[in-house]
Amino acid sequence: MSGIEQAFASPNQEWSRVSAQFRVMRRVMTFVVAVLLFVVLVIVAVATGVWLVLVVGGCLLVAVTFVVLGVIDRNYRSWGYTERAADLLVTRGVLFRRLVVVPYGRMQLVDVAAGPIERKFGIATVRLHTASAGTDARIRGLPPDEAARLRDRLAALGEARSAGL
Amino acid sequence: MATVESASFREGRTHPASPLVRAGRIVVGLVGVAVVNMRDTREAGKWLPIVGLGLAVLAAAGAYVAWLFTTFRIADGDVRVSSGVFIKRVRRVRIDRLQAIDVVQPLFARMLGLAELKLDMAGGAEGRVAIAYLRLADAEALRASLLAMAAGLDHRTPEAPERPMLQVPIGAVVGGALLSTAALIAFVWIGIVLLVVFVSGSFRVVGAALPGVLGVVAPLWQTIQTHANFAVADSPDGLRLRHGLLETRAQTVPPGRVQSVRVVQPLLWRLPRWVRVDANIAGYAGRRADEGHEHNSTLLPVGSRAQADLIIARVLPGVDISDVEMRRVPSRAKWRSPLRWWTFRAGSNEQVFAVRSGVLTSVHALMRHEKIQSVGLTMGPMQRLLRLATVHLHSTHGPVDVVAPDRDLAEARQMLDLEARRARHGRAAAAPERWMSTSPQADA
Repeated sequence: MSGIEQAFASPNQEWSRVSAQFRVMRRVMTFVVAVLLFVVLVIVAVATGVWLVLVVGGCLLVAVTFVVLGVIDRNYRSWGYTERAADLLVTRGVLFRRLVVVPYGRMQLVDVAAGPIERKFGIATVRLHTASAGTDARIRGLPPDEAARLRDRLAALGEARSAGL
Repeated sequence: MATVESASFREGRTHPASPLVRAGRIVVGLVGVAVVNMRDTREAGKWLPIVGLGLAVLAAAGAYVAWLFTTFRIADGDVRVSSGVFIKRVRRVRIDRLQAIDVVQPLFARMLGLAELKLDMAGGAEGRVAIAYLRLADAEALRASLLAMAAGLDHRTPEAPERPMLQVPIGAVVGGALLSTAALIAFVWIGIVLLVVFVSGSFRVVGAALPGVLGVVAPLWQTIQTHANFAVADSPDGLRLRHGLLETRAQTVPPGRVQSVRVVQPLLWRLPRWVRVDANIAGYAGRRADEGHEHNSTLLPVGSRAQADLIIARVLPGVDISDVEMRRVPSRAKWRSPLRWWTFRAGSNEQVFAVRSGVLTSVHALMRHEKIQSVGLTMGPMQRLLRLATVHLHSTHGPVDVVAPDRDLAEARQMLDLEARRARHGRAAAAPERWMSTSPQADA
């Protein structure tokens, strides 16, 4: 698998990684959903009197939860970004891996967004837009001050290197 | 900065006959709907003409009131069109960001000698403004002065002289349409209908099948109608395209606005050795597909390989694609793309990145390095097993996708790094926005 790591490696140093709070948020969300599903199971079991539902369903739920937690962990570790002199590299994805190189001169818009849950966990999403709809470059799970720093830096670099279409 | 003094265009109103054209189009639409739903129409009976007339009068009245409240204005380096009776709406286009200007003549407008001016700005649907309708001569004069201002020249600069490059004969347009997949579907449809008529001996089925037949014939007709009389001319302010049978359109594509190009050859076009040339043009971006403006991006609807080369040489000046070494993908790619892997080719030289693929319809796409918006590398689960990856060059919206699928991992990463580097060098050396301001005699 080293060939794959090489193909998606950061060009100069290690990838800058996203905040661990991103993983915490997704874990908590998974836990909340699992608890809600468990409550539903209990209600069904009580209402029908078939306790086997609870046993089988509960085991399944635990198994699925562990799988989801594993996926969350791997996905969290797949996110990364690197600022180079002339462009920004963003990578993400486990099953579908992707790496995007966005030149600063091509950035038309950089936006920072944080939903209510993201805000609770102190993270934000930075999204880069170019004139192409194909550029799907976003970095999730950044600490707000890092997101703001990145936005300001990218905006300044974009301004300085702006190129015509 | 050029100031606008030409009093006639400083502020203006569209031609007083404009509401008539609009109402006429609405009435034609209504008649079309009535014909397509013929069975229901017949049941409506005698009320139909009265209702139709009422709707027509309403449409005319509405269009007239809308016209009263529509004005356009050219000042301070932008074009503003304000409209709206209850809610005022002002659309604004910055002249120095103008990407392309079309003069469009729908059939009705053409009968009255009127034309519509469509202005496109970088940034897609939001940056589009139409001035409808003006006298054809006024529309052309306005276009010439806007293009001059966009190029950084005085607005009184006369329209640049043009040199005809090629004309597409109507026979080739019709032939090209008849040799398309859409035509095959239409013929099969009509064949089935005729067969049913023949077997059952009753014509009742024709009425039932008519909407369906219209549905398959319509795209063919649309292709012929938009591409008929296609003429390409070369001028210093860009490539001029004129086309259309009933609705005519004159486009000017300024130099350097073409982002990427592709040469397409559908299966049956191999017999007459015809090709089509499409392009992604900045400013036609973000246009919704349902607006039916896809033809805007066609530079040559049907022509020989030599004609295609001529067009490409004009829109990608200085590009020599003869030395691009096109490499195939490793044979293990057959597990992911069993039918198409052997057609995948990609390569690049100092100026362009090129990809080629297609079993039935062959597509050859080209993109200059400095036009790249961003570069991407993707790998799906199947590709992971095979150690393959896909390289994407992102362009502005349009029909051309520059994607090199199923490359060997190491090669894919090399391509990505090389493209990122070449795009950077290309941008650094790129021409300025106002394409006429540095060299007034660009290629006169």
